[in-house]
Amino acid sequence: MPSVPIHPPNPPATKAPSPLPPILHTPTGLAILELQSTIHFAPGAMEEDGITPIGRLEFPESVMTGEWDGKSVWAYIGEHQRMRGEVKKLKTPLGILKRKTVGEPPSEGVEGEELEIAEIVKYKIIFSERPEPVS
Amino acid sequence: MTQPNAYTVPIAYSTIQTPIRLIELPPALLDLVTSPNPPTLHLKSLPPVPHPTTANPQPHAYLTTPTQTFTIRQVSSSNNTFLLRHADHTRVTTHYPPSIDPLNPPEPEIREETALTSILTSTTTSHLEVLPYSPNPVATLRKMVPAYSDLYTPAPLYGSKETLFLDVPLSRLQFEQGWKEALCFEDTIQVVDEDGDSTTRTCIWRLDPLLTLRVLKMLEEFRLSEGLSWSLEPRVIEDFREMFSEDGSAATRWMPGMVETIIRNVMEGNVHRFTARMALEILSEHGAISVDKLKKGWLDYLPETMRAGAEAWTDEKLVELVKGYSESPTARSVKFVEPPELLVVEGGAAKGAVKKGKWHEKFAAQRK
Repeated sequence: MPSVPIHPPNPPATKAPSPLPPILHTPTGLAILELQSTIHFAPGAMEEDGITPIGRLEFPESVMTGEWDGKSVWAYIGEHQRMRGEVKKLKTPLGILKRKTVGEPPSEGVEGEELEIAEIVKYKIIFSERPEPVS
Repeated sequence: MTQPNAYTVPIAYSTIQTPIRLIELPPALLDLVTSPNPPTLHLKSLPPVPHPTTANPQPHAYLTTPTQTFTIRQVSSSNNTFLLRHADHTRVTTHYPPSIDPLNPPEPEIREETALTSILTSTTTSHLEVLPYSPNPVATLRKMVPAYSDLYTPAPLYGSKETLFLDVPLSRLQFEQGWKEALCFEDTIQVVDEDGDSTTRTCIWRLDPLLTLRVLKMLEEFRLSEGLSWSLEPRVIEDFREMFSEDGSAATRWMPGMVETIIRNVMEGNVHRFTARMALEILSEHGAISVDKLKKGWLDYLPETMRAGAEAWTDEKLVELVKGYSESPTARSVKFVEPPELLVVEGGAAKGAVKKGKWHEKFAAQRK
């Protein structure tokens, strides 16, 4: 039976920057977004640097004043579509498992594989409604 | 159309996707991994079954902490879950100013806009559900580790205690408890390979009832004759080894691991407990026996010096002593049974037991 070690989270000394509302902030800046859809790219649309813009998330101004209810968030995809979403608290927090960056020889495990919990997230942004057209 | 005074965050997709898995963290696990000195967890999995059936299902994967074990189940979703990582990203756009003279259009403007961007760097359609699981470490190890009565029958389990630990779905604490209670030990044997070369290999066994009771009597008789104390000191062990070499019978081959395990249990005050259990296993091999017969047989197996006190025990006390390894078909009879595979949690079913009919009950309730 292979045994793979899972190392606990190792939060950075300083919090990573995040443009998302404070409720979604985590020490490493990672967050989760859930879509009941698939993102498609037109041929030739992918950028050369590997990072292809797909749109923007839009939060109401009340995000910055602390009065935001967590429900109003829009995802604008491309030029002509948007979806309504919300920030939901997860019933059970999720650990994000990644392969551990190996700097030293691994202590145990199958063929040197080690995992780590990169982050623990307690909230997710979820878009479960159908996209609607925008001009 | 952007809402007035909206707060916007650009999102982008990374063509280089990093593989991730999402794993649930129930309260016990969450507290553990967020504690000041969190331990390393371990993921253990059995090899997949090529053609799983109801009788031989795909085995679980297990998550172990230093003290607990959980089973893991993959739950798929029709939704895509993306991991967002944030970084400054410069977006280059081309703007075409309005032209007054169509014959001399102005040069397009190249604009660079840098903003902290949410980048979708990983995608998954499933997560790992973590479920409570209470294995009985003794049952697990008794199933895996052969009882030693002879070097090659049953076939030895090659490996060390540590390699065995990697192969069992138990936490370290559960494994150590099971190792001790199942009376397991390590020893080395000489193995001749196909080329005729002899090598030393470490093997794992657990105490065999009949051989153990016989060896216990030998050790006690020798100890009394030589005026030795029960001890694990090397000089005492050496004295016992010499006694074995003089005995010369194949059935009492010197196995230091076996002898040390017997001595350790005597020193820890467990002699009545493990000998009663062994006597029950031997005497009820062909069916249940009376408690009276168990008591008589057990006292016969015990060295004379260890019978004191046990002779005065009541039947109820003796039945209590073998609890966990016995069942009583009638009020006056008892039979050896293997310990249950799962521990029963107080007030509920065994953790890890499958709740049958759950989905049918759920849909039936919804139809009402």
